[in-house]
Amino acid sequence: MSATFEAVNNVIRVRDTNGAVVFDTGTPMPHIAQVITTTLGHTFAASGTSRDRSISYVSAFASGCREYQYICRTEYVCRSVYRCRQEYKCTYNYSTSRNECGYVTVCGNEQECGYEQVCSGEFVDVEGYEANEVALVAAREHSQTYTLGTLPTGTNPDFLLVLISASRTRAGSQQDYGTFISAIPAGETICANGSTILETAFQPNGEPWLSRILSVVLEGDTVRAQFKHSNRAYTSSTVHRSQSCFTFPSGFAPLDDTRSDWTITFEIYAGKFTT
Amino acid sequence: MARTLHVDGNSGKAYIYKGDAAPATYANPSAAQLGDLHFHSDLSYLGNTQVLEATITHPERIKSSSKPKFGSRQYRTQQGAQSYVLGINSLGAIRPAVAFYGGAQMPAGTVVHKVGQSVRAVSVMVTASQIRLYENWLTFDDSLPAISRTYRIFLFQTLFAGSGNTSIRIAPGEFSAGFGKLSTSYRYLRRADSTPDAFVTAGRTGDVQGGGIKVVLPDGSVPVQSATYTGSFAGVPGTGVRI
Repeated sequence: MSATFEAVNNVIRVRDTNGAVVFDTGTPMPHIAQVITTTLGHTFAASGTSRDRSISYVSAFASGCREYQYICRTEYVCRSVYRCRQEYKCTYNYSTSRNECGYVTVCGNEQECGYEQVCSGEFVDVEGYEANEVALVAAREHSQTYTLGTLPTGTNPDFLLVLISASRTRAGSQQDYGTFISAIPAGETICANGSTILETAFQPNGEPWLSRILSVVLEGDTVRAQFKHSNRAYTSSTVHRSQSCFTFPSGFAPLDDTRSDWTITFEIYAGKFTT
Repeated sequence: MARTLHVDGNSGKAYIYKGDAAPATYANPSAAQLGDLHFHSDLSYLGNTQVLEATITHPERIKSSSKPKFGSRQYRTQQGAQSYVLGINSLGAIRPAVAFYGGAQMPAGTVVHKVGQSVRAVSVMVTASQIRLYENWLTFDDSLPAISRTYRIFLFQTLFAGSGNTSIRIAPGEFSAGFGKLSTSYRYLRRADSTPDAFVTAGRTGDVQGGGIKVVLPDGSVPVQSATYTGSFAGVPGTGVRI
C-alpha cells in the first residue's frame, strides 16, 4: 500500500503505507509554542505552634522531693525531778512521853509526766508537681504564586507538559512520624503535569493532616507555579512528662517544625492546538 | 472552511492553514495566528510516543518496634526510598511524559498504598536512558505488605529541528513536508475528543484544603480525595489526545 495525500471536502489528510492516518486537519495536532526553563526556590513557612498541658500532683512518697521544715509535735514526756517539800511530821519522844510535831523538809527524785510541744528543723518528703505536655500545630492555609515565564501576547496556549527537577533542602517533620513523606526524588527529572504532591503528613487514622502541592498552570499567555499549603490543627500523639519539686513544669515538649524549603527547576512545554 | 497547503520554493517552508488567505499571511506567523495553523515547518511537534507499561512489585516494608521489659510495645517510624526501572527510554533523551497509575493519569507524588498511617508514594522519573519509578515509604505501627502496581507512561518525542532540504515529497512509500517535520515516518500527538489515550491540561489537577487533598484529573475523574479535604475543587477540563 502506498502512502497517500488527500485534499477532499476541505480536509487535508495523510496516510502512511499501512493506511493509518498520520495527519488530518479534522483532528489537529498540537505544536509546541514555546519551551520555558527556569529555576525558583520556595519556602513553605512553618505553621504556628504551641503546647497543651495537663497537671497533677505526685505523692510525697513517690515524688523524691524533700523540704527543710521546722516541725513541732505534741509529745507525752516524763522526766525525773528532784523536788523538796514541807511535810508535817510527828515523832513520839519517849523521854517526854509526848508527840512532838512540826514541819520537816523532805527531798527526793520524782517522776513527772505531761504533754508538751517538741520542735525541731528537719528534711521531710513533700508532694511534687507533674505536667504532661503535647505539641500543637495551628491550622493554616496558604498559597503563593510565581510567574515562570510569559509567551508572546496572543499565543494563548492550550496545555502544558511539565518536567521538574526538585530538591527539598529543608524538610518539615512531626515528632510522631518523622519527616513529611515526599515522593519527589532529589535532583531527578520527573513528569509533573498539572499538580504535583510535594509533601504529606498523616494522622493516626491514615488521613492526611498536612498536604502541600505544586501546580503549574496557564493564565492567558503566562505560565505560573502555585505552591499551596494546607494543614488542619494537629495535636501530637507523643506525650512528654516532666516533674518538679517547686512548681508545675512547662514548655518542655519539643515543637513540630513544619517548614520546608524547595528548589525546583522547571522545563515546560507550552502546547497549542489549531483552534 | 477551506484548507490550504502551501510550500514555498524559495524558503522551503511548508504549511497548512485554515482558510484561503494569501500564503504570505502565514509565512512568518504571529502568536495570534498560531491557532490557524494545522502545520507549519517553523513550529515544533510531538510525535513517535514511546508507550511503556510495567508492573512493579513493591516489597514488604516491615514496621519497627521495641518491647521494654516493663511497659507496652513502642513503635518507631521507619522511612526509606527505592527506585525501580520501569523500562528503557528508547528516545535516548529526557522528554515530556504523561504517567498513569492503574487506569488514571497520575500526579507526581501519588500515594499508591496506605495501611493506617503507613504509606508509600511514587513519582515517575525520566532519565536519558531509562524510565524509572521513585518510591518513598513510611511505616509506623502497620507494616506495608508487598504489593503489585501497574504503571503506564507515554514519553513524547519532540520534533524541534527539521532535517534535510526537502520541502515536500510525495512518493508511493512516503509523504514528507517541512524538512521532515510532517512525515509518514512519525505518529503525531493529535486531538481526540472521543476515547482519547490521554489528556493534556493547562490547569491544576489537585487541591489542598483542611489538611486534605483532592485530585481531579483533566477527564473529570477523581482518583484521590482524602476524608480530611474540605474544599470544593471541581477540576479543570483538559483536551483528549491520541498518540
